[in-house]
Order: sequence, then C-alpha cells, then structure tokens
Amino acid sequence: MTTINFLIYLLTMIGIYGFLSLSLNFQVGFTGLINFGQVAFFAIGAYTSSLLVCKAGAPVILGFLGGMLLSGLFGYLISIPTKSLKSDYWAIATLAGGEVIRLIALNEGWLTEGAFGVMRIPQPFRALFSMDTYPLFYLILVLVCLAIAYIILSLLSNSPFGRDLKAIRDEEELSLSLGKNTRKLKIEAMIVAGMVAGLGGALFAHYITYISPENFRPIETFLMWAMIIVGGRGNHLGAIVGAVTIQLFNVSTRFIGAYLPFTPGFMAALRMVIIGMLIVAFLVFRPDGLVKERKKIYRFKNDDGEVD
Amino acid sequence: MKKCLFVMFLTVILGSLIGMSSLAAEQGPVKIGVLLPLTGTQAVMAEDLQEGFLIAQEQINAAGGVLGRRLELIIEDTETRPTAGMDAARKLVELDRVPVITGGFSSGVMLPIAVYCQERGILVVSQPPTSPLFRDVGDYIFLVNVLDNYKGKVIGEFAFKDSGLKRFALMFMNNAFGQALKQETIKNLDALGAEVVTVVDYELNKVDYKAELTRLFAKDPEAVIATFYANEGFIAAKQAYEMGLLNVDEVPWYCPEMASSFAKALEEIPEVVEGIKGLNPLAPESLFMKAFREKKGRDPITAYSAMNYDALIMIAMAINFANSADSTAIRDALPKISQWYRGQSTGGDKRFDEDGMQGFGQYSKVILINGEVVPYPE
Repeated sequence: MTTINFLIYLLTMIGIYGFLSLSLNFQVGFTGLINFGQVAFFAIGAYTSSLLVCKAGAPVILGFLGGMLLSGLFGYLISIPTKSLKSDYWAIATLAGGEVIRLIALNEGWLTEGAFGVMRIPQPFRALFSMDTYPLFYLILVLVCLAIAYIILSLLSNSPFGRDLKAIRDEEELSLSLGKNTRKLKIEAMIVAGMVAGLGGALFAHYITYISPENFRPIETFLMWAMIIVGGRGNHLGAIVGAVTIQLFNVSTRFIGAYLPFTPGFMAALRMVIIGMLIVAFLVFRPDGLVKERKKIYRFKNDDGEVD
Repeated sequence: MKKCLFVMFLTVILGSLIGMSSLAAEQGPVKIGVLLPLTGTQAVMAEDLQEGFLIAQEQINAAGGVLGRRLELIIEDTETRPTAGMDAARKLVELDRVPVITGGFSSGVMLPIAVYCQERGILVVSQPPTSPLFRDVGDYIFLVNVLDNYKGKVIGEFAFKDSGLKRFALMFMNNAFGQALKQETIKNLDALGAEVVTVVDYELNKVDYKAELTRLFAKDPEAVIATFYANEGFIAAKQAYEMGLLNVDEVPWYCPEMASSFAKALEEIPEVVEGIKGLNPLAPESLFMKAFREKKGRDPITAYSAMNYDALIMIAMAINFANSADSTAIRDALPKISQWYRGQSTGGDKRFDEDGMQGFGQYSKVILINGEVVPYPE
C-alpha cells in the first residue's frame, strides 16, 4: 500500500513538473525565447494562489485562476524587453527576473510571510476524501489539468500562430520581412507559457500545503532546462518525457545507493555529477533529445509541374 | 535500441521500488530515517551534522543496540531543496517504513516534511529548524534545539547588561531561523529600553558582505548583535576587520550562536574575532566534544552536530523504554526520557514542553580568546 502511495506521489510531482517543462518548451523549443527565469512563473502561480486562498479567503478554484492570470501577466511584462534586447541579453534579464520574484517573496513579509513561508494552504475537495484516497484524487486532478494544457498547447502549435512562432525561432528576420508582428507574437507566446507554468505552481502549492522562498531557487530552473534538453525541444511529448526521465532519475539514485559501497555524502555528490554529465552527453550525442521534433516539409510544384 | 534502454531504466526503478518495500522484516535492524543537507547551499556543515548521528549510533550499537537489535541509520540527502527533501522523506516513510525521522536543517525544507509526517503519524525529532511555526504542527513533532524566543531574550539581556550601552545595530540572515531570532531580539531590546538603530537582513552564500557591513555601521551604533553560519561568519568578520569595523574595544560584538557563526573564522583568523562575546549551545568540555575530537582530530564547525547526537540517543532510549519501534509508542515515551536524559547540548537539559519544543535548555555565555571558545565570567 505504502509503495503505491510513493508511486502516486512520484507521478503527481512528475505531473507538476510536466507543466513547467511544457511551458519552458513552448518558449524555448517553439518560439526560441531563452528563458533562464522559468522558476518565476512557478513562484508566482504558487504564491498568488495560496495567498488568495489563505489571506483573501477565496475558493481554491479562484486561487488557481488568479495564479494563472498573474503568471501570464508576468509573462507579458518579462517579454516587453525582447524588443530592445537581443535574445542572449534577454536570457540574462530573465535570470534576474526569476531572482527578483524570489527576493520579493522573501522580503515583502507583510504579503508573503517572508522567510517563514505560507503554511496550511487548503487543498481542494479535501473533505470529500480520506487520507489514503485523497492523493489519488489529486494525482487525477493534476493529470487532467496537464492533459488539457497539453491539448491546448498542441492545438496552438499546429495553428497558424504556432507556425509563426516556429518561424521566429528559425529565422526572425524572415518572418519580419513577411510582415509578421514578431514582437506581439513573442508576447503572446510568453503569456500562454506563463499561464501554463502558473497553473503548475498553484497545483504544487495546494499539494504540498506549504511554500517558502526556498522552493524557488534558480536550481529549479536548471532542472526544468534539464528536462527539455533530455526530453527534446520543439515538441510537447518531449517535454513530458523529459519531466518523467529527470524526476525518475533523481529519485532512482536514492535506491541505487543502497547497493553501492559509498557513503551517503559521496552518493549525493555523485548524483549531481551524473545529472551534469547526462545533460552534456545529451547535448553532444543526442542534441534533439529523446523525442525528436518532427519538422513538416512543405513541397510546392512550380509552373512546370516539377517539385522544387 | 534507445526505446529499449528507456524501458529497461523504468523497469529497474520500478523493480527496486517494489523490492525495497518487501524487505521490511521484524527481526532485522531497527531503522531510523536521517535527513541531511549533503549537497546544496548548506552542504558545508553536512559532514559534521552527520558525524553527530554516527557517533551516537556507534555508542548505541556498542551498548547492545535497541530492543536487542542493531540500530541502522538510513541517511538521505535533502539537497537543501524542499522538493528533494520531500522526495527523501517520502522514500523513508513509504518505502523504508521508518517509524522516526530525525535530522533536517533548514525550516523551509523541514516544515512541509513535518506536516506530512504529522498526517501519517510518523515521529519527527528534528534539530536546527527553530521556526516558531513548528510549535503548531502537531504532537508527532519534537525539536531538540531551543526556540528563538529564548535565545532572543538571553542575547538581548546579555548584550544590554554586559555592555551597558543603548544603541544597537543588528545583522541576521534572511531565513526563518535568522528572522525569528531577529524579531525576538528586537522585542527584548525594546523592552529593556535599548534602541535598535539599524537592522540588516543578509542573504546567505554571498562572497561579499561589505555593503551589508557598511549599512550596519551607517548610524553609528554603540554595539552590534549579529549571527552567521560558518562561511558567512568568516567572510563578514574578515571584511569588517579590513574595513575597521570589527574592533570590540570600540564597538562590542555579540552573537547568539557562537560556535556555528565563527567556527571557520576561529580556525583561519583567530586574531580578528578575538573578544567577540555571545551564546553557545555546546559546552567545550562535553563528552560529545571529546568523542568528536578523537574521531576527527578537530572541533565540529557547528554546534548542531551535538544536537543530532542528543536526538538519536533520546530516540534510542525511547524505543527501549517503550519496548517497541512503533511511532506512537516512541512518541509517548520521548517526553519521559527527556526528563532523565542529560544531554550534550544546550546546557544538558533536554526536557520537552507540552508542544514538543525545548522548554528548558540553556545556552552558556562565552567569549573568543586566542582562537578558543572559553566560558565568559559573569
């Protein structure tokens, strides 16, 4: 029974990280926006939802929506500098953006409880379930939301909007020359990505029931990047495969240690080394990740009826 | 081929998950879960934190173990990251099925774990997390370090009466521990009629604290109250000295957590921290210190290793007293054990109050002289 509980926990956390990798993949893999501050969306979603519910007394569903909206708004704000900043400089700005959000959570104690964190975050429909069945309900909730997000993102990326985004990623000047408003498209992409990640943050906060600024250090962004590097950029399945692989890998190292003659300290350090090596290995030997992006090839016939 | 590898990877993990849980045997060793920040921002202290448990484990097993069985520690890394800490705690509870979790370091990591363990009826005997929020989590949660309201009161009175000065500047780290301690210190200084002229909250793990130190001294304080961890204490003391700000004859420094704050500074730059006064949870001549020195050939860089030692010894005694390795039985025995046990940290008095917090422990007053922590004569 307890083994099943652990698997349910593991799957729930994979689902929550699934939102974050889907969102990051939508920015990096589809639009070509290098975001090193992805954890900011996570933090905003988590904090907005828990504060709305704990402090303003809103129902949990409003908390989720609020988390998504504010996170989307942050996506809008952070994408404004894309006009004047080149993508690599913008990437540095996002790194700072992520830290700014964490520092606000840490220092504005009147709003966020500062370093103490927000405790006793209510869980949706908790009273309807027993202690043993609730985790299963929450897992289903997370997976249903994730499936909806997955479908919406798939529809978007297969629409003309999605093709415009890929055009920006591959050749921004070209899409500019075709009269596309690339700035507006980038902003829209960031808003969508922000909302998806914000929902992940809200689901996380109401699952663990306690959040503090400790949860939102830059290392989380690093993990999300690891997920899309390993899983594969430019397709949604890759993002999910990445989340599954990295989370399972992280946990699995705890079990392998029992069979190896190393001290726990050495094993812990070794795990960090292996994750780093894994990422490098993927970048070198399989830069497309586990799931390769399927690029559509369009062929046109010219006036003589020949295929170009 | 690659798909094949991935499936194999999955099978190995699932297989080991199921294998682990079926191992639970009645006659094997008694397993205790230990959480430590082996990697991440607090990893500097992990070795010494772990040593506290290992020394206790060796002594317990040399004395016959618990319930006639061997005491086994399952040590898991929290990465100083709340989500990784939760992974570790869930693994300990749901797969290793430990009745007790001990250790932990930051409140941000330990609080969600405490809430989870309370819900599952798993005993938590934790040390450093001194956030006041622990008091309300529930009856399965015990702390072996005294809470900040005690430390805040004592350091306030000590600094006020010892220096005879009125204008204080405060410097505390911006985490749950530092902030709770700061609030209590300010409250008690105010009550005594002292004036707090500056309060500086600093971020951990920086390599430069000049800006913070400049702000600390901006309003000409007459005395300073500051607390650190080993690395931050070393950097801050060194830089304050270079800036001419660390001169205890002009502006005395007081520190509520002496051993942890200046352990590294005492090794590297003893002349700089000479004359700093403060509180220490660890008696320099205690049995634990002797055992630690014998094993490692040096002093621990954090007093919390002695608290870990106390935690494990008390858990083992409670298991034997309850004659059971069941969480609830150990929980019921623990307060009784704490009445008799003479601890190695916080003055030896490890009695729990009705909320499972340390109600009576004391820190001793100490001063740094010639690279040594020596008792400060009242």
